[in-house]
Amino acid sequence: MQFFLFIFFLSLNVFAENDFSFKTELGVDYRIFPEKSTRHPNDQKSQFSGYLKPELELFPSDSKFEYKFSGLLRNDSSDDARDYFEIKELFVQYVDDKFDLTIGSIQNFWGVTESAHIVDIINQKDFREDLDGEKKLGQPSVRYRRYFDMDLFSFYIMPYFRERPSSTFNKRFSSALPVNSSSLFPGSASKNHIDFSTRFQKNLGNNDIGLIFFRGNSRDPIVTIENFNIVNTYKIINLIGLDYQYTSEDLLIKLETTNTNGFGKSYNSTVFGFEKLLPSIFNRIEVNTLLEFQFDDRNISEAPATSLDDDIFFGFRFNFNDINDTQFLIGSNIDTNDTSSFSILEGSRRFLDSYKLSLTYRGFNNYNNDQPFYFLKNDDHINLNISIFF
Amino acid sequence: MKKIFYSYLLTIFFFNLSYADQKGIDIAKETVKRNTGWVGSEVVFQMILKNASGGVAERKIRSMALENDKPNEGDKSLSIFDTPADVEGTIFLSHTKIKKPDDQWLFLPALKRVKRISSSNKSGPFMGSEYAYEDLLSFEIDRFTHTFLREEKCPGSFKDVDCFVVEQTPTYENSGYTRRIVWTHKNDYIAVYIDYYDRKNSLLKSLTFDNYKLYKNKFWRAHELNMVNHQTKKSTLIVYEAYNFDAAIDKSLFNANKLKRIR
Repeated sequence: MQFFLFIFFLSLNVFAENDFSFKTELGVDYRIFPEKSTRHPNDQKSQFSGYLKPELELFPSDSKFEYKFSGLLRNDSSDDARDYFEIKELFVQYVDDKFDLTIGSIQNFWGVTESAHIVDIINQKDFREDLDGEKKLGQPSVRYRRYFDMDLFSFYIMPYFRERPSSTFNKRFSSALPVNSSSLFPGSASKNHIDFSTRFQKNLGNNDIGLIFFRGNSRDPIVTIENFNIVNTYKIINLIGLDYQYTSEDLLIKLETTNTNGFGKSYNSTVFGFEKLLPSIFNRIEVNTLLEFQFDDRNISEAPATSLDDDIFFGFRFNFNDINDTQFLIGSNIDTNDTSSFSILEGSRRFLDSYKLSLTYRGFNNYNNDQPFYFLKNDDHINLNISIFF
Repeated sequence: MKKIFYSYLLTIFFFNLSYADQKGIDIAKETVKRNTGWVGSEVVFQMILKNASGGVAERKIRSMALENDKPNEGDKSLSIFDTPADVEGTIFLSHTKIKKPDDQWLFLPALKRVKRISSSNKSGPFMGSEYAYEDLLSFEIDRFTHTFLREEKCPGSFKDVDCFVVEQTPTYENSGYTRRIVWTHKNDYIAVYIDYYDRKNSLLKSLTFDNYKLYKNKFWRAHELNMVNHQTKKSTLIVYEAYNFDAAIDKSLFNANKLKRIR
């Protein structure tokens, strides 16, 4: 790794100015928690943190190699687990017309649905960053992608596994008990297990289909309790997944479905839904309505917990199409079995050309003690973010 | 006698109508013909957005276009946003169709996600500007019906030459316009001015083309396009840098899967 870094920065001097791009985002997050924490009576009512996201790309014009680094440095006022530096991407990529080969730490996204990302299984989720699971750790990989007209075949070899990070015990968003720092890897599971995954993506006019196979350490751990400590256990899983989107003029139909084998009896997870573009308001504000259904037949006594088992997500996304790119998403995810739900409101707007203001609200309703994520029930929060880009 | 007179009137009316339609189509065909064979182009442009009180915001965009090579398809285009900084690296890819809805994709760099998107929002503004998506699509004859109105002196900086004035009515669904009136330079067959009428048929916007330059001795390109919204008093000026037609545009770049690796 150090050698790789050394080569990486050494090569910095070699390139002409138009062969690289460097950009940075600097921001602050202020979180307000209106309710008293369930964990500790004196737990914080607010939390303040700052972050820096540098991103450097080198793409010498006379070479087929390109290099990328992106990272995240965060410092938090109250939670030490949120003081960290994470290398999100650090890779070298060979780019040919028909294929590319990438070696290093990568960020990868697969999927089509909005309320859950069940086929997106390459990177580990970073719950220190946020609860939505959309922030991810870099994944050391060798990736090969082969392009066929509108279709794509990709293959991943992942020699190093990264465990899921979490907030410090007793701090906001942390689980009910402390997490034991050493996790279990039974059977052939191990941090050094060589995981692999492959995906084939096919376009048929208005239909886009992706087929996925993954074998390796599960990104989600199953949680057991030993001596009042949470122990995360990662097992080798075989996952087969499918994602599908039908695109028409104003309607998207989306499906993600997976079958996972490795935690006891194999189980199926499915997200199915629609995204419909409504007539614009004042011929300017674009309104999309989202409706998604989540199904899961896992037995949580032998498989990782999920809150999305028999749930419905319903929401609206507003794009104001103004100079400041004002956007809003409002929605609610409702569990049809026990009527627990969480609500979200996300809004953002640019100001003064290179600043951005974002506001997020999440509220948890009817969370009972027999639910897997009941410890979040008083963690309703408002996150105010201001960032500058340069 | 009366009957004969009326049928005579009707004949003249229909003759004129079909003459006007035919001439309108002929002008459109000649416009397209003279702009055929450019294969691919690459250009950088600035969008300068002005609001009614004089506030200004700027956007920088790189754009690539690929001429259609199949008769039933339109052009392909790719726009890469360089500023504002928070959306830097966002890419919009469009495969224009003539009779079917266009195929469109958006690449969101922060999420590494390529999203295939609905294309019915043709009347929506492009990046908060006064241009709607449909204003920026390549000109395809069959997307409109064409009616020749008259010939007159051109407006704006072309007032020394004559223009054809043609009314074009969108035939595609979800247009924000009932019609548009296009002033076309009579010698060079290039648009110099367009009036857009909203769904209530009142004048909404006017677009002025200026600073035309000739490339490869054949293709005229305007380097300043100013869209003024008469109802909101906002305007958006697009200023193009020099076009590059010689670039061997890589066809495979206009592929949704490859958006992730475009610089």
